[in-house]
Amino acid sequence: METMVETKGLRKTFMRKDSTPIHAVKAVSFSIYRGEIFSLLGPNGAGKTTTISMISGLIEPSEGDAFIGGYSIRQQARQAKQLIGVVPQEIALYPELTARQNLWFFGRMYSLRGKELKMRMDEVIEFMDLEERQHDRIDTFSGGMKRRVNIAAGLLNRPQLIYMDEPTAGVDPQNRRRILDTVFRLRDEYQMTVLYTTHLMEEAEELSDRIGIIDHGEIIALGTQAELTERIGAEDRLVIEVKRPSDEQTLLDALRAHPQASKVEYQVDHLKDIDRRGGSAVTPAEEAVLTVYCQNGRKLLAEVLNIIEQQVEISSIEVRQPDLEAVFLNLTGRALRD
Amino acid sequence: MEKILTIAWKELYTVSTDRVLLLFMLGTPLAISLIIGLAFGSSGGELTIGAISVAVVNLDQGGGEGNLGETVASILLSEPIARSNEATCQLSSESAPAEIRPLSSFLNAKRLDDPELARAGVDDGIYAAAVIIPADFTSKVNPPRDPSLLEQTQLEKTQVEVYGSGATAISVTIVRSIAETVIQPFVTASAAIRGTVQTIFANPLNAIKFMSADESAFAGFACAYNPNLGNISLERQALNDVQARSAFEQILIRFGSAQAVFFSLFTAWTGLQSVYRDRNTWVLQRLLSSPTSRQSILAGKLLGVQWIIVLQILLLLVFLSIIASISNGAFTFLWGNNWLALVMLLLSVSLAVSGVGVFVVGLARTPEQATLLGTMVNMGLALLGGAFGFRLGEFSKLSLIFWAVDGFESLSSGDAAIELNLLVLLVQGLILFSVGSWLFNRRVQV
Repeated sequence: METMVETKGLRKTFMRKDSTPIHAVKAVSFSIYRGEIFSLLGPNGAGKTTTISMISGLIEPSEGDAFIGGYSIRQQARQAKQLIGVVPQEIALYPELTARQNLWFFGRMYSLRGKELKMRMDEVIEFMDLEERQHDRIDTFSGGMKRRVNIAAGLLNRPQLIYMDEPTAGVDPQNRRRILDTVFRLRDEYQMTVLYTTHLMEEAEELSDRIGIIDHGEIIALGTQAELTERIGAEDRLVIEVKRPSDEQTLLDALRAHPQASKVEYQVDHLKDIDRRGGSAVTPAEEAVLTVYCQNGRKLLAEVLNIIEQQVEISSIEVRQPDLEAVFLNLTGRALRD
Repeated sequence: MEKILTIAWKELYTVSTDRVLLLFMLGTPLAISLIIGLAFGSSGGELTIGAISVAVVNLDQGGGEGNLGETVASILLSEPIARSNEATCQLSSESAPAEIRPLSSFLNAKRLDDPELARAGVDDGIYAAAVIIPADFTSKVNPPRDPSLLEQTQLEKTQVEVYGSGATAISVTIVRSIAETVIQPFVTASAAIRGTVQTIFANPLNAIKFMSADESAFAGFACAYNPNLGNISLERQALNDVQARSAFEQILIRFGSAQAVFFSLFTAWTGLQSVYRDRNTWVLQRLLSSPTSRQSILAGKLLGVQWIIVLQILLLLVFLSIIASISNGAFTFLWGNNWLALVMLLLSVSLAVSGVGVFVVGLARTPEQATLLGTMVNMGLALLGGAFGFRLGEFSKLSLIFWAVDGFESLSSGDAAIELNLLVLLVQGLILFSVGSWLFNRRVQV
């Protein structure tokens, strides 16, 4: 596959006021293939934004280099930037200008002019379905509309690589669906490479051809979702809510004795009662949650339920297959939103 | 270059569509200038000022034809004018035209003998101004009666000093205007007498009669300058454009131009503060990720603010002229007729103003710091430069407002000698702009 983005030993070190270094990104090397949707996931402070800022030429790497379509972002920044479109998480538009005026302005920043600029503006306006509101000021738009103009501005230069930073943040489900469909269209109809960041696992799962997970300034995993789950050996989880048993230990022993259950977790929520005099007392809840880890959850479900029903009443059952959340949790020890 | 112009255009467009900002940039300085003009300039006849306290010191030693300095002093003091061979020229209010206000209604003048005492009185705030008539006033103003000397000597300028305090700049302007108006007839009359004497001496017979005439025959010239006879008034007797201006117009020129520069200082740094907003909304990052250099973004922002400042000051100068025209009922352009000098001054002032703005925003780390620092700097410059109606003596020259206003006043009076003003403003502007741009460059980083 042809490489669209290649980072080689990309490193960024910031200096604190006391001259001690902060290694935000530590020699990151990875490739993004042309025409794929690549999601970069990582908790806050992991180095995700710094890495992307270096790739898009916003900040200078301390060491290493990134190549966009073969152009070095350090040595051939102008050519490299010509291939990049950016859709920031913030609405990076001038609210006092109309949608069309904003597009004109940002188009000029890519040296577009005259008929060519007008044609590109019409193109992205139609693509993002903005015809009716193109002459309205941005500050009169809804959140979803602003997001669409924000994306349109990133497409003006017909980029080969488009970086989209949480483009669905704060939009309603209808506009979110429209934006996700747009991402697919950019890949499928325009053969663009999409570099995508999100906090929503289900979005990353739905969109991504490949996923990179970054933590503490390093890429700790990279591949398709199947490759990642396989890599961590993630299992299915049977999550069963039950009335709290009188003899917890007997139930747990019975479950753990099953040869296909690799691990059993038991959790009881505790309620805190606060009396009128301001004192408090902690009392256990009536419900408890059992989590059974196994290789084939659906197959094992009947047997597990049989064991539990002999001792306690079941409230609900859920079979959870391994997902990115589990991968992320496994690799970083944190949830994505932490 | 196209990108720079595009960014500059965007800055200009944004300001031009912000009504509240426009009101602040144009409406407020105009309103302040108009109010001050009406309050102190007697425009429309509704609002008048009280008598201005003035010290008059006559050091004139006189000459063969009497003491013209004493005549000037008497006029300013509203005293009867002494004649050498008769009692006095009576200042009869009955003979004065009804529409002309006597000087006593403008000036509360007091005679002093010691010029230092008069200056000290001004410094102490006892007097708004001191008019000091020099010892050689008569000898310089009056032509010699000896025809041979007449050929050798040239008419000399009078050296009457109007000593004022920056704290009462408006009053000093009025006193200066009055003093010039009073003195001017002497200069005019002197030139007329000079011509008359030359004509007389062209005929030898007349020359003999003239040389043998009684001294007292010439002292009668003094009564010719009696303001109640109507040839001295506060209305006209123009020598130059300054004297032709009413107090209202003079206040519009001085105070209006000061307000224009003062308010443009706010425009300078508030305009450049947009870089903080651009960074917060990621517009700056979007620009930097396009093939647009940091220097182009910086240059576009600075050029845009420069355009805005030029337009702001230009519009305010035009609007001030419109106000003067409405007041006069006829077209009145306040800023002289030297267009080249006016444009150069406008550009120099704009450069100096935007230099301050760039410096302030470059120095501050946050928008809040820029607001605080900018307000302090602007107020300081306004205080020094006379935008609040008074000046702080020599310290005023530390403020670009002083040099700007002084330049506009000079052009307004038909004096195009503003080279020093241009030099000071350009140098100040270039230094601040250079240092500020270097500092501001850091603000265009993410």
